[in-house]
Amino acid sequence: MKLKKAINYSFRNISRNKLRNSLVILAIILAVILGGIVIGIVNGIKNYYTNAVYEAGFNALFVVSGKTSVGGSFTPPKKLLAVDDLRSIKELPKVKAASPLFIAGVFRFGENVTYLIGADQDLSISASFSLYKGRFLNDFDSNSSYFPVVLGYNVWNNILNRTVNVGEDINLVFEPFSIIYGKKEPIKISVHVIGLLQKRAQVPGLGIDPNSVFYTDLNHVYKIFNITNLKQAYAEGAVVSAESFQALDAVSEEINNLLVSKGYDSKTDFSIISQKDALVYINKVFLQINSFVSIIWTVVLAIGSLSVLIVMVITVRERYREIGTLRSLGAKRRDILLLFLFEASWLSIIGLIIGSISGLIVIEILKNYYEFIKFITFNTILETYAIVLPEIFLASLLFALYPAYRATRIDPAQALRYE
Amino acid sequence: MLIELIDVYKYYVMGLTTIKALNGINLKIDKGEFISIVGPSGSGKTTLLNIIGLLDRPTKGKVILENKDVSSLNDNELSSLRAEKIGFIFQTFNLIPNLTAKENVELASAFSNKVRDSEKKALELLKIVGLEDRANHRPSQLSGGEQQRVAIARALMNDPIILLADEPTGNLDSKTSLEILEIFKMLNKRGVTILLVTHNMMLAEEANRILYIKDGKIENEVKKSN
Repeated sequence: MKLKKAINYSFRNISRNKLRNSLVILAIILAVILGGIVIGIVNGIKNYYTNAVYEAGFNALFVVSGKTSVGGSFTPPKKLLAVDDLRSIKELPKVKAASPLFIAGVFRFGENVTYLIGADQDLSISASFSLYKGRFLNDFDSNSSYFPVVLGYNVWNNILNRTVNVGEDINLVFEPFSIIYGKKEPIKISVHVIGLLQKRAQVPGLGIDPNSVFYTDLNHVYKIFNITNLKQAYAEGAVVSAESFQALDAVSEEINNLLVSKGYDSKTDFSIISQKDALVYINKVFLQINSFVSIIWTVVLAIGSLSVLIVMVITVRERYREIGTLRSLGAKRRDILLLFLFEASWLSIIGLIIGSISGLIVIEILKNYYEFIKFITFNTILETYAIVLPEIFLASLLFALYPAYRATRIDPAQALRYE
Repeated sequence: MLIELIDVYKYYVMGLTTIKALNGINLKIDKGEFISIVGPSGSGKTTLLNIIGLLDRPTKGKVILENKDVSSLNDNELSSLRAEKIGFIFQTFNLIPNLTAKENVELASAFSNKVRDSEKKALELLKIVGLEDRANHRPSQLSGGEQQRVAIARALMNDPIILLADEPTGNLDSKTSLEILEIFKMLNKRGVTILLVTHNMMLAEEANRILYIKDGKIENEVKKSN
């Protein structure tokens, strides 16, 4: 049969049983929407966190006091990491920048909790911060008369609602609370804003949201705990930036050797986590989620495809005599097979087109009600459709193959007698 | 010789019973003939028609089409021959309900490469059967007689060597039946070979040759001189 005529003929047949075919199309539409949302969310969240790891710093490593891993448990160290030792990481050959980190306590703004973290000027490089306004910490801030702070994006944009500007002082109540130095009574402090940071992604498995932080100089923050000599200070860890992504493993080994040479036990006192570890962690978590989603998706796919199968079985039965007529006109078995497969394809294609558009609309509407739907970006939807649409189409065709094949086996002489 | 059946038998096995639908048929059909086949129900008329139309294969015997033995051809080859050489007309018209009259006629050309401009030819054929103004109507919008005329036009689409009509007036009133008969006579005068299976003796007697079939055998044959 001529292909153009077969395509046209099979398309015209779609209109023959509108209700039944509409129900099949509806099943496919629902499969596309459901697949788009379920797989879309998983892909969206995975993309978000993977990007977060890449944004977390150019080839970043985290040196953490005690034993931990991304998303794993924490065992306190036997020997605390000294700020001086962490600063010596800067001298390692393949290290681009390194800053110790000391979490000093919190500022509360109603229900919002923000952290005060001490660091040095290297943090802007090692954590790849981008400034919205002002500047980051520098050497002069160490001994300044003011209390210099650089505000994370959430702090100045959401919590303080853009009411602060660079050069301004803010009076706040600070609650000193350190894992190393313990808890102290809240104090009133006046902080001097020197910079506002752009928004950046949170690294999965590393706890604190970097956007909800006041960054200040180490000297100032230790003074709160009455430590004036940094050589006697301890920190929770450091953020280190390697020269390249390929150098991450080498730098990790260099840091390990350095800290061991300074008397730390690599089994108990410190952990080195790199971007690679975070990516491995993300992949591990999503591998499990994906396998679960695959089961749900298989069920959805089966329901959509079964509806095609059932309708095609009924259609073939209904058109018994028509098949006989077409065979009497000279249709070959292959022509009959093609006609029914084309018909199933049309049902599937119409369902896929309407489903794709409906899916986009449904996702946009759901974004207003569910926070987690925001992870489904337009690109994620396209990525998801690239998986979902061909799968539905192929599954429909596969399920239509059996009734279409049965149609080809019908004896034309018998079919013409069929009442 | 257009078609020749040599000692054709057709048996159907249904469980433990074997039904002898055709029981040694010998038949020769020449070009331009108008033949009627009459006989009681179950006598093997339709089976004979299906074997001549290559829709069914004989259990035994030979079918010669234009001097070629087609008894051993495979399904694909038989389909191609059906498309190009046979035109079927059925009692129940068997039109595709969602296609217009013109599209139904055109459909026959989809399985053969004989017709270049199928739309033009379909319109010409509809004109021949007197339905040029009903070309864009669907079967449900046509009367029984009109539907059968569309079916005749469809059967003629690929210029077949023979028209096989199985009770073409079985679902029509006597007036419409006569109209259909007139079309057959007109086509036959134009050189179309027609084989008509019917219960209607009035119709059968319009043919040049009448075959009386009973229990799968040709019992009698009456030739009329024109």
